[in-house]
Amino acid sequence: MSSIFKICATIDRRVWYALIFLLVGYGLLRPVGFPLIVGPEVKQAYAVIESLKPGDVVLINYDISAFGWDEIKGSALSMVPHIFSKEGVKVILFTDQDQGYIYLETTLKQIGSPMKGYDKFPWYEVQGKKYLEDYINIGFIPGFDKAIAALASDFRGVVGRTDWYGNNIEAWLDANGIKSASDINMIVTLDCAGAQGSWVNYWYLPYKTRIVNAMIGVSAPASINSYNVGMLEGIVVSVRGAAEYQYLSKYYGTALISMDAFSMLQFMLIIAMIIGNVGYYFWERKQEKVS
Amino acid sequence: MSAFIRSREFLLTIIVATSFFIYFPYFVTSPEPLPSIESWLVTTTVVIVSFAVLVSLYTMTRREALRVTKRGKGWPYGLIMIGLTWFMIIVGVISGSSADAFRFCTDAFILPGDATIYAILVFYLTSAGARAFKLKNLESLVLMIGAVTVLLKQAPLGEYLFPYIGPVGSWMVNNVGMAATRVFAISATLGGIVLAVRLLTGKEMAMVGLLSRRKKD
Amino acid sequence: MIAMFAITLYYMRKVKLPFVRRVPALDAIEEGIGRAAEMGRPVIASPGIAITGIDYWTVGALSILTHVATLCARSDLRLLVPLGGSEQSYTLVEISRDIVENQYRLEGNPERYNVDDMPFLSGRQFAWASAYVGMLMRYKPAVNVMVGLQWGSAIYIAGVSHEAGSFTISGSDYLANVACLAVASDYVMIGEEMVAAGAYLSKDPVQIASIRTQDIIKAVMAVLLLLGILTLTMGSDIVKVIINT
Repeated sequence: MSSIFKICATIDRRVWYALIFLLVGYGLLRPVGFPLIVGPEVKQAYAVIESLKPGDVVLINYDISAFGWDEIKGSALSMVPHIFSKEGVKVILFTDQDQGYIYLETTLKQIGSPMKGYDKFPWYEVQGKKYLEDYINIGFIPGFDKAIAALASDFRGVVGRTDWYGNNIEAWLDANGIKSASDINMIVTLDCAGAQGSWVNYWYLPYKTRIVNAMIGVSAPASINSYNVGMLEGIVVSVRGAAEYQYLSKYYGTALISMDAFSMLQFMLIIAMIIGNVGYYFWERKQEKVS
Repeated sequence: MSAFIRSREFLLTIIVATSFFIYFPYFVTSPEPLPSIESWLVTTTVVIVSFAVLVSLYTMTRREALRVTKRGKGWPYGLIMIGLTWFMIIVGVISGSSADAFRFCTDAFILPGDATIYAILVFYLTSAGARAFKLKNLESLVLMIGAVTVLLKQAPLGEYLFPYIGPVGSWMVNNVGMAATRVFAISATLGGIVLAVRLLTGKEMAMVGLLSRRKKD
Repeated sequence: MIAMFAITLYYMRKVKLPFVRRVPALDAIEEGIGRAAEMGRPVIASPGIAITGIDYWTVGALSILTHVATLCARSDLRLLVPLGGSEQSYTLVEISRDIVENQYRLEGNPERYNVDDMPFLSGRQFAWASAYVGMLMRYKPAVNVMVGLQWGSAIYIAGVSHEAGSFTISGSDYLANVACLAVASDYVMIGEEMVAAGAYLSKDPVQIASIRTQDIIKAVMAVLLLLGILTLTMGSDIVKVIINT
């Protein structure tokens, strides 16, 4: 009997790593279809985007780098088409990460198609919205939080006259009444690097701009803090939140599929904790007492 | 002249002036030209960061090139780094950042590498968890209960099988967890403000370390 | 804010040394350097990735780096400083090199300073972390002082530092990170300990006196919190109104 406890206490970490790999692989390749309960935070985020009215201007921030793309693409590929599907809403795409525009274009490629007569960026039509009629892409502005602060203090000055591709956007900005940061009605930020703090500091506090934040798991505590005090109108946390959003918005994707693997992994971790503690209590502590 | 520019007093004057022109209009409704100066200063930092990228490119290339020519330790990696960096720069400049070649380099090298290292965190978190969640005393028992609750709440199947886990887990995250995060954020921010005063008065160790150029007597 | 500035300046001028509790993580730096001197192994210290530029976390980390550089220069130890990690870390590179070079020169050991021991590794966070980890595995330093903004790579570096047999002292701005680092490191700095490090390590009475302000404001906030809870329970929001004005 004591040998079983000894095995529990001394299981090689690589066994757990192999189990993680197998469970996640199995869950992704053969989804079981476990039920998913949508939480109030994601329902709130969905409702906030649903409440967009014709004439509203939304700034979508792609604070996305390569490492976080796999975690946040579920949110991106459901929230962005949801925003684009709102009639009369104008969209400004922006990124504060040097790799962000790559994932921005990847999103547009996946959810849209080239406009008639065009075959490359930026001329894509997304959910009926045409480039330079309903949305623009101002691309990457370096500085991370300084870029966000600069946009807040001098929006037209920092954006300049042209978009990321060199097309003149002054007429578009004037036609949509965008003269300063206070003319932006909502910010939807897809965060890998915790930009929500900067958006709250430089946009929510002075202008009370509505902010919806989708983020990777490691940035969740700070965002949950801001959400609970009302600075963020909605949050979509990591892959679980993305799956819930995909379910609500009916833009199904990889996040929803990966929930089975997610559940299996969480249960495996709990089982690992129990096994480890059984081994610790019934074998390792005795060894410590003996020595 | 250069001695004056490198002097402590001049550098502190710049810090104090910049801080004033950024802080004051942010907190107090100010007349022109203060808000314009604030905007200009904030926008200037964006320009400085852009130039810093060029400086780092130059220093990185120079350092690795020297290492390759002198066959220093790990010089093949330096060669690969210079090669890939400049290849991507040239491809990006010539054919544009949306071009297939540039996109291929990103998708083939950067995305898998970054994603893999990020994914490795799971294994280190697991081994850290194995060390943390040993029931040695009452505190670790409480920690474990909290961890299991939140883990079950996060797992869709867990929330379905144990319906009460959802509200309990949410309560823990939104009350207990948030209290800790707020305390942390408040105390850190207070420390930051006090550090700012030390910087503005030239008393912070980093500032002293940066400005000390005389030999000790 | 103005009150904080005024109180801090008052205490700094008064120069009456307040009681400051021991911060084990900061005291452990000397212990770690001593360990490195005994074992004849290098020291590795990182001021973080400065992902939001030179903010107060990074300044606190630079203060710790200054202290580590001073001790290494005095003990004639090799100091490795992996730099990089974000697009804004480029400015941190030159500042860090300047600080370390100054300390070696001030301690009369300028020939020990080697700029190649402070490489700019990468502008990408996880590429920097991988290179940092590579340095840990190759050089097997006796002590690893990893402070400043580390974000997601903190647990990775701390885990490998533990495997490499280094004595790990860490500090992070992020509560979630602190929890992980508390498990993976030998010593961890929580919250403002890293930010107050410069004052604490300098042993300068003026700087240590400034730490007093944080305690005063925290006490005021705790009192306001309790008053707010009591008044709200009794149905009055007077404290909330006062704070919001």
